[in-house]
Amino acid sequence: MRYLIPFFLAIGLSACSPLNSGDRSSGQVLPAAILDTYVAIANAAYEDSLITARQLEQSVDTFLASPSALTMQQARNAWLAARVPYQQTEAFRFGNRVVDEWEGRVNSWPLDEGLIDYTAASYGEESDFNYFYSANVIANEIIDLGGITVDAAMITPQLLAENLHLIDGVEANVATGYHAIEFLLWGQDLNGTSPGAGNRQWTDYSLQNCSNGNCDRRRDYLKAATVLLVNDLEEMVGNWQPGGAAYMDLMGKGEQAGLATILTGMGSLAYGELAGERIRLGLLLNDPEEEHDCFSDNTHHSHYYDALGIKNVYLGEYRRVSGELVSGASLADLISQQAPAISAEMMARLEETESAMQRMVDEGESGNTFDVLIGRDNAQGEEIITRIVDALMEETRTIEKVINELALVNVSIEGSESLDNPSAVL
Amino acid sequence: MPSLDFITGKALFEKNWVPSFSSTTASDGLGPFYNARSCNQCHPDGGRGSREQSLVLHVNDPVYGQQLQKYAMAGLQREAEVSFVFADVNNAGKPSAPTIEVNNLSRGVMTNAALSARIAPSLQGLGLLARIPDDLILAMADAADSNGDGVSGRVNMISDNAGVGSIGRFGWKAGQVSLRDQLARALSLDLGLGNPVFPSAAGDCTSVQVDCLNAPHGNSSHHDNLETNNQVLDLLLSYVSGLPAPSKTSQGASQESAGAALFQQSGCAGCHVPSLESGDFRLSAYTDLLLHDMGPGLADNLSEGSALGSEWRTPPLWGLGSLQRQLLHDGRATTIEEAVWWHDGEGAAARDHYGNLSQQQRNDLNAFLNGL
Repeated sequence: MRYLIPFFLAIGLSACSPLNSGDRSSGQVLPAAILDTYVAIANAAYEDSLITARQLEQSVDTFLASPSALTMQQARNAWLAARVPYQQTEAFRFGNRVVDEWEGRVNSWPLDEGLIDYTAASYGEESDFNYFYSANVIANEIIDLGGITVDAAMITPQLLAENLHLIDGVEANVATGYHAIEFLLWGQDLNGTSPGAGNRQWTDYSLQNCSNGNCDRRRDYLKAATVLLVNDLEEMVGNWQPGGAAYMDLMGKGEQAGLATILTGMGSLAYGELAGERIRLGLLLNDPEEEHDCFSDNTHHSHYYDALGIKNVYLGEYRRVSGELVSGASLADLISQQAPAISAEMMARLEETESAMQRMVDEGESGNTFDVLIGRDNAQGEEIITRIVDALMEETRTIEKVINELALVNVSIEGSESLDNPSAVL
Repeated sequence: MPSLDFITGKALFEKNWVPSFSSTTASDGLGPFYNARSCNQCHPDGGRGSREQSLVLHVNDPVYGQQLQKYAMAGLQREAEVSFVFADVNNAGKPSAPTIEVNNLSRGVMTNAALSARIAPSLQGLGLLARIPDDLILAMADAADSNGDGVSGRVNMISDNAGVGSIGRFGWKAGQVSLRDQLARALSLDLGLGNPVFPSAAGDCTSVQVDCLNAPHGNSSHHDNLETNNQVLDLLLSYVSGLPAPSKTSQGASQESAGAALFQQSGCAGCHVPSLESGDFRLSAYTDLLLHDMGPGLADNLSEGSALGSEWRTPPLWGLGSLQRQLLHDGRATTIEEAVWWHDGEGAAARDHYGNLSQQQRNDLNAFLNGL
């Protein structure tokens, strides 16, 4: 196996550690080496996210320069490709404060899409035409947000990032990021839990044959949101380079706390976020909007690559978009030396999750996308989705065994603040 | 590892809801008026909010309803601009209550001028308060002060539609019988989400706020024709009732035992009851869940159930040391001393005891309180 460490990292670390690639057959796997690999993967995955977002921006430029069904489809394809590396970075979100605080800008969900553009009048009979429907940025140069007036004459990245989002305080990042762009490229998915994604017409962006009005402003919004995504990803790539905020944060924690961070990210994404929030909740509510990539019907891929991201950081491997493999010393190496039984169990859990996810991907690619699978009375869909939830739950249990095996303290897997037995305090 | 219901409920607790003109049909329903987009915004990780982020304004007005919510969905005029101004001390050098400024009332003057700022309390341990047996609470009540100790706690007895009374336990004035109802009320008032207990999609809109009533709503078949269905409420309940009580932190054994004794001697323990026991049940929450008249300084002149404007439910003291230093119902007190200073009415005697302690005794008592 080759051990490729990205060039900038080799520069940054060569003075203190000779690549720390570890040796899987003999010798002790050092925590410092595991952390180096983790950072290398973060760097590569965020760089790939940036590279693919820039490709998306180019495709958007091409689409806007000559709008057509073809150029729109190319932009959609670029968006889908950009999700592949980005979803694999989600294993870095929990445990790394810098990432978690930034994440809402790029991957916020649900989206306040009624604030962005027109939506279908579907909520009730009393609403034939309603003032509220026109309260969106694309249709209005002045927005009245519940008494606060925003001048939206020029739709710029700055307007979206600074003026629109901070209106009601924290976590109100409702109009930027991947899902805003997704909405602009696909439009609403009006198919409920039946097959089919959003079906926006390319003429929504045509200056000659404009559909649904305000195409000039819609074009500005799409461009601005894409530029903003690129800017935000540039910032995150910087955060993971030596001296960057996320890098310094991690390295400043010490080795044991660093390993705890890796496992916090794995467990929190697997259990609280993926199994709970993104998958089981949707299944319980039969709710098509709980579908993570709901406009494009890409959720099966989005979940699959989340799970792959967890596996990546455990195995210390990441396959770049270019095909290059980044790898090095890993938690998997350490556990296989220290506790072969737990190691074997963890590998089996990861494989089961991947296999359960693959089943969903296969269904999704043949038209039974996530929103279809979670539909009411879809017994087969329920079985497919439940298997994923179960697999992620078992995976998290084994992650907890790894945490115990390494005697790590202060590991907080999201959702686990609760005592297992609340009556213990009685 | 917590249960799947707990983590799914946590996801709902943290979920950012969106207004109903979104293309979503099941994640929407926020508003028309609202204070926050998610539960977590005011109760971060189920804990207590700050007065910068988590104060809401309760009113009781035929036009404006039960609250002046901070926000309105786009296209709808906000009820008013509300701000809370805190000064550390007043002109006389004494702690001061926040000034509540209400400007630009959008729908005419308020006929009832009572304003009550309420901070989002910590939700930790509420599941345990729910399990306190009724008879324990009833046994502590002494509405007529028959024992003459100056403390006359009484139950906020809440009647249901059939006229059957139940003990109110939750909220600053114990206005809600069950945690489920309290959650449902917060969904309705703070997020504007209709639910099985408070089904109106229009939340706190009154019958004269026609623009609010006509705003888009989020009722959908996914939620059994509500904005949030029973399942949502039950999952939220799984999360909130599963939040453990704050854990004790050690402040040193000798100081703690000295402080605990002073807590008893000063009369604090008369309402902040250190231990509730009945059969197998034992809980140290430092509350009796009863209403007490706390005097005019704390009074907000709003009644709730049978609670009067000067009455408040004894808040639990667990977790006091880890709370942000913004104590009492509106976060006005920044130290334990200040919080005690505000005690009046039934709390006056204990307050005076506290005031007469030596510095060493006060340090011991504060150390004890910070460790709860």
